[in-house]
Amino acid sequence: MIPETDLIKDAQNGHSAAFKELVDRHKEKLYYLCLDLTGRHHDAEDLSQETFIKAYKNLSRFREESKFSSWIYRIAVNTHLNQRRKKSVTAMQTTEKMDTLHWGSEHTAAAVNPEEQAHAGQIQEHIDKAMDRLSPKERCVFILRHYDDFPLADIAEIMGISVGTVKSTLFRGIKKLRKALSFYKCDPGMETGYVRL
Amino acid sequence: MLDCKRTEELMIEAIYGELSEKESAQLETHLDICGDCQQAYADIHSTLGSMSKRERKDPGPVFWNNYWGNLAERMNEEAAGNAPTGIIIWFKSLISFNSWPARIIGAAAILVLGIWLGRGTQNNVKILPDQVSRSAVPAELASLNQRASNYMQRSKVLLLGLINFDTESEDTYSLNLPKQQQISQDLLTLTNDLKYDLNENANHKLKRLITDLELILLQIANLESEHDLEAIEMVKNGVDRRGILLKINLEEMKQASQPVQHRDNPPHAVI
Repeated sequence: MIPETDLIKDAQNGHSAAFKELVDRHKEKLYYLCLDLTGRHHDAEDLSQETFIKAYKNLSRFREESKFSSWIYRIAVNTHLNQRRKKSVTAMQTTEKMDTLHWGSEHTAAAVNPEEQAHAGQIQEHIDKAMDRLSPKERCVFILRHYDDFPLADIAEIMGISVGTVKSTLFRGIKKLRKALSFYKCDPGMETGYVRL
Repeated sequence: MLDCKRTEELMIEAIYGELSEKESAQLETHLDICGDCQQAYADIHSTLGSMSKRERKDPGPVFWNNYWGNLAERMNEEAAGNAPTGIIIWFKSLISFNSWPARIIGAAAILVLGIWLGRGTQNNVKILPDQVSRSAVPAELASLNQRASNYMQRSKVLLLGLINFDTESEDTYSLNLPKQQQISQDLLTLTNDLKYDLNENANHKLKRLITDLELILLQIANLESEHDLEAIEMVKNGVDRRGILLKINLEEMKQASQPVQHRDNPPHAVI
């Protein structure tokens, strides 16, 4: 297996086969990150492709101090956050209205009978809806830590923020998720035990 | 002694196994005496347990097999340059005027320009009958078109052989893959020069087609075995998805409608 540093150097020198190999090695993880960020297959495909294209165009700027995976993740996250920022206020208001329609108030959510809700498909739906409650930044931090297993320091590098901010953002995000999923509290299928240190 | 704010940070680190032993002991001490933090810690665990049940849908093997092809196609499109030309930018800026006076002025300008051009054509130029639908092609361009035409013709024969090969019913030896690969490699050696010359002549559409063909030819040249039916199907799908044979046919029809330059008898307009 060719070392990644060699592939990067070859790709920087214009060898498209080397870049193809880099894409093959990272496409899966990147696609799933994009899927977590966007929530839709087509958006994820689009974002992951855009990320690779940006990476290709800026390969000469890549320095080996950081990992290639962290670098492309950073491109993906920044591209996603920029796209979100560009969305119009109207679109955001519409989304908020739809969220309210789906979720109602927290009281309504808490009043739902967990036994009726605890079907597999519905669980996924509720988890997705809970994720939608996070701000784009909270969502990014949570996904990178919880699903992609990046250490807090790496997330700070990817997002361009301090480790302290990563921790506080993550804590805030988890609190929101806890509220959104509070009606599952009594459901043993959704609980994991309290783990002491 | 830890306060509750600092404990929040430590909880996050503890949950994801990023806490040192010393800090871990400090956190445990605090949790023993602070009921609120103990509850918060349990809630975090519970929430994260729920979130871990989230499933990611695999988009399937077709998606992964076509991933590079789709990406390369998009990169080619971007590289071919979709930037609008100056006249289009100008026209867009004209029609994007919001005020009605600006729209009227723009429309009037186009009308005047059209009348002026029409009068100039009617008064000064007589077109010979054989020039009605055909414009002259300079000799250099004709030579380039000829090269491109040969390239496309050879590629077409190659691709038709592959497309018509049924991986389910036919014997792979009938495909004669080594020969097809040799032809692909021969064609690939011509590709760069052709693309360069087409670029010089600003024939971006034909260049895009040659780029598409290049990708397919590369795939054929790199097939590891004639028994790799999945890879052969992938190439066939790529040809189909990009509509390459259709594009070649269209390009051939376009070229057939252009006359070849004759040095002895240059076409002319009578003014």
